[in-house]
Amino acid sequence: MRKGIYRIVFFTILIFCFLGYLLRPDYYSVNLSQRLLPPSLSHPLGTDFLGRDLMSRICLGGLISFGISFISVLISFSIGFLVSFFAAVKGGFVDKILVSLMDVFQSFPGMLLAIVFAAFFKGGIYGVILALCVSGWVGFARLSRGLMLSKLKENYFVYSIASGERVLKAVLRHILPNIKKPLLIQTLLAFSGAIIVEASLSFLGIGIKPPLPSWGNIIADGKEFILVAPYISVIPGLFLTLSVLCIKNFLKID
Amino acid sequence: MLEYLVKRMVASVPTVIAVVLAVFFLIHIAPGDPIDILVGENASGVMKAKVVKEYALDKPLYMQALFFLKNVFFKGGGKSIFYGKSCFDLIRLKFVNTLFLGGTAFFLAVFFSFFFSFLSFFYQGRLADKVITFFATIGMSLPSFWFGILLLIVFSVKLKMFPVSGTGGFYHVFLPALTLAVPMGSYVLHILRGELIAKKNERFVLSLKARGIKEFLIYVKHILKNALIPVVMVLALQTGFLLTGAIITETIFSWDGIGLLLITAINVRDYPLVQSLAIFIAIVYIYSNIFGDVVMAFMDRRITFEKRDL
Repeated sequence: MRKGIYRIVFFTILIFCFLGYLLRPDYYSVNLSQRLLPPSLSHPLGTDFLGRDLMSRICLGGLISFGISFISVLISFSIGFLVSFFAAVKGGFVDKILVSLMDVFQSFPGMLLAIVFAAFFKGGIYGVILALCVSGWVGFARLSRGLMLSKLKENYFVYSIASGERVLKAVLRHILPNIKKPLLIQTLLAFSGAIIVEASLSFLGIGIKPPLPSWGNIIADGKEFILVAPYISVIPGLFLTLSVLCIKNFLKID
Repeated sequence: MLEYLVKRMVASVPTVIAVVLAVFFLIHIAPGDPIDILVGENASGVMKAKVVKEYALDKPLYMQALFFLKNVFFKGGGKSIFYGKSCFDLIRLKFVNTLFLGGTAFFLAVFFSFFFSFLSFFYQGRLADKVITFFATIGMSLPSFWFGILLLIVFSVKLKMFPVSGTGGFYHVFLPALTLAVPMGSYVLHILRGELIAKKNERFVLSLKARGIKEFLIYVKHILKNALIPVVMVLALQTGFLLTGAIITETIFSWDGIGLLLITAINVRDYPLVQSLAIFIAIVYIYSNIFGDVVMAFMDRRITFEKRDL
């Protein structure tokens, strides 16, 4: 494998989605005379069951998937980091309470939690973000609590506290740089996981609501037409798998 | 050993109660009136009054929580609105199918991942190894709903080898089980291959070789035995994946298990059933994790001592 091929592929997909979104802004225009067309010059990735151009829908759907997953990973990172900060620094009773809270959240498989939350909050963009955050924060919290606990006893941290620095500032300035590598890996894994969960929710019809496209609901639409137009669900799935693969191996250089 | 098992079981009780309470609070934090969520906005007054009585919605919150707990543990999770039956009876009925699907997927995944990881271990660094790890890396990131559709297109539509959907025997279970097995198997393959390679370079292998033990015996009795410990843990943790993967796979293949039940319940807005299913899946998940821990403790006695003061 060439150097950093995963990054190149990921950024290619991102740029492709962005360019496609800018250049082909007709993701809603229904054209019933051009239903289920196979890929051709005027429609590079074909059309769906309402005659909408699939390329522009896939591009917009990709941007939506990336955007939603990115936002929810950011939010769950912040929540997880704050919770782990309180748990690790306060210790004692607060720590016990927060750890048992994490235990409760971890007793649900992540996807189930996301599905149930999306169902109760009726989906939509905000519902999906909420569902992803609820199922995602606990991984960050657990990891960074463990890492932070191992660093709290280090001399450099004790000295910085002794010299009168505020605890939060000391953690951010001295501990965070020391634990950033595992957190970065967890962030990438959470990002790729969030993309899959978002697509699954949209596939099940409790995520992004049509007419807004998402890779998940384009695949779900295509499922009804696998006999006549298998490319409708194959192509967005290809994008999805490739981007998940590349994000997971983002740090891999060799 | 037994002490460890008992300790884990006792420690799981508060977790289970907390899980049930967490699910209970869902209808209160969801937007809208709990009564409307439970029976729908257009339900008749009689129906609403019945639900208010059944869930004690006119009582204070802690009483409602107690009512909910009692409902879950002693009354089979209340009545499903869509099916009109007790939720847990319904789940038990469908769970057999999910168990069959999950079990088949599990065996497929274990069989293929073991086979291919041994293969790639013995041909380490050569072409076969590279091909296997390449496909396993892709397999790990396959979204199950898309892979299921791909399998449908190839095996059911083009080759007409397997049925498109439905519940039944081994003929029907193969495609959904394969959908579940490939991501799980790829993951297990990576773990097992890594472990085998790591254990092969450890010093006890060198000493065994120096003592003139047969190569085959070293591999089977020492390297494999040590490498299996983390793999068992991973396999136990995969139950969660099998259960949630089943939700999506069952939807694609119309397999009549709890996953399809959950999606149906969500689509017809049968929230008592959704709650019961969430509780049920979480409880299965909790106890399968404990089961995995206990099996691991059985294989690696060090754990029993380390975790004695849980």
